[in-house]
Amino acid sequence: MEPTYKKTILRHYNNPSNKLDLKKPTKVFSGANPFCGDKLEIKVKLDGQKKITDVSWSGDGCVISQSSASIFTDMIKGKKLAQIQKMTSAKLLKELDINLSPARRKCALLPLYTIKETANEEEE
Amino acid sequence: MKNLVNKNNFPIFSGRFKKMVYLDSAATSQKPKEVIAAEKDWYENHNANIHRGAYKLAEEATELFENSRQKVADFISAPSAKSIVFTKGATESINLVAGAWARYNLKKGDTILLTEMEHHANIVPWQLLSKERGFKIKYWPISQAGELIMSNLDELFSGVKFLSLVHISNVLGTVNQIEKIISLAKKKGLVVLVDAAQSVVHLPINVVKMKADFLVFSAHKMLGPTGLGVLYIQPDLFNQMKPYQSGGEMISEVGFKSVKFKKVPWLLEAGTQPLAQVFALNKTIDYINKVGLKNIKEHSRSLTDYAYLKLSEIDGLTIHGPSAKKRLGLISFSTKIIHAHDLATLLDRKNIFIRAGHHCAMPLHEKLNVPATARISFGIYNTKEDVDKFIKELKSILKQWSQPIKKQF
Repeated sequence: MEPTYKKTILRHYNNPSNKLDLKKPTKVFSGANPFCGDKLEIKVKLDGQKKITDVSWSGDGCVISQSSASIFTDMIKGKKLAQIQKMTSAKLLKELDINLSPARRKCALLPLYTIKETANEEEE
Repeated sequence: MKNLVNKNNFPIFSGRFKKMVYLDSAATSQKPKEVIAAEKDWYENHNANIHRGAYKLAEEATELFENSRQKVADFISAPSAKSIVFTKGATESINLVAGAWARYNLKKGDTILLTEMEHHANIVPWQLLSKERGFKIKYWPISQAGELIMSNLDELFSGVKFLSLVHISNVLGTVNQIEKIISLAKKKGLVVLVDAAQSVVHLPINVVKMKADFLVFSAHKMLGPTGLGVLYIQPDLFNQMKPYQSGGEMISEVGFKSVKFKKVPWLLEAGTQPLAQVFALNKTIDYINKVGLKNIKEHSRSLTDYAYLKLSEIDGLTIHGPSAKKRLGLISFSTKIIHAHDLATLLDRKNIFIRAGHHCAMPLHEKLNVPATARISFGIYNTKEDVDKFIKELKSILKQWSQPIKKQF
């Protein structure tokens, strides 16, 4: 099987989770990938404990960025925002489990950087 | 369609990437063996610092360096070698004009005219300078077809002191009617900079006929070494140039409290220059002259026409920019079936190397209303077979991705 465009990735691309427009979000994050021009917006609803009770996202982009946004937003539901903002790139890449060149890693990591609000920087 | 040169004269095509179809020459070109050999030859046989040292090796190095300046001048039909300044690339050449000319010769409130099809390198230096010095920036609009709109030029040029524009767009491939544009601009007294980064390797440039005040290009996009660029300055503007960077080589006399500068071009070349690269550029121009720019232009023309025709036959594919005859050397396109990046990744699997993204022209992509495009661009080593391989794989990818998801894998 094609190691980048595997079935789970394509399923998320064609049928993304949480690609909605959340009404009255607590917080809105915007990110962009300067390498390719992809843009992403993630909206979250937080409860009193700053836990993510609901999430939605919107944006256009390649298969990798779109499916990653779908998978990532599934991952973060029910977790504390502060905890998610500490998530490492490695953790998200492991969850995606696909073969990516360094340039395409940026596509995959766009949702994570968006919520970290450090869209242009990859941590070491 | 005949092959112009033997691919094997470019060592990269017989090395690790023997099977590659390289379609990204607008980003950087591959190098013929003559150019690679020249750089080695410099270090092995000629290396000494120039304009100093009273010994044979240094004197010879100086002569070779200044000969290369003359070679570049002849290449673009500049009447004097003094018009040629070496920089580290087209980007630095533009920054030099911003920092050493525009900064001192434009006044607060003056307008700089750029076009909507500029590369970031011809936008950002002007934005930064304008912020600092209170200049205004205006953009020359392009049509749906990706050409500069040539009507209402009186209104467009009003209040404008300086025009900086690209010769061949690195995204649209549009060949701007540069001579016509400059002659109209000159009537209004504008000073004009031409970004020839894409054009210099596809067609003969004559700065006198063109009447450019400044013209910039990079060596690496024209089969030459990386890290080297050229700035041509029209002689009438020599006295308007101020120092860009300062230090050694650009001075004639330094005291503890005073300094006297050399004249253009040496005024603008502070510090030790990229000597081996300048020598290699000299040999690059020899190589280009041997192949012949007229032949190169014809070759680029037939590859562009052929690829354009083949791409335009594909359903659901949008080609950005003008018709084949109004462009040269490159084609950008997009399709709703697959994102440009995914396409580049899948073609990469087949050893076909194309560019995907906004090609350092985000404002233009905003205008085109596409987040990213795929681009193929040609060098003198490309062949009809390269285009055929690319089209075949492109069609097969588009076919696969048009099918419903369940059937795909």
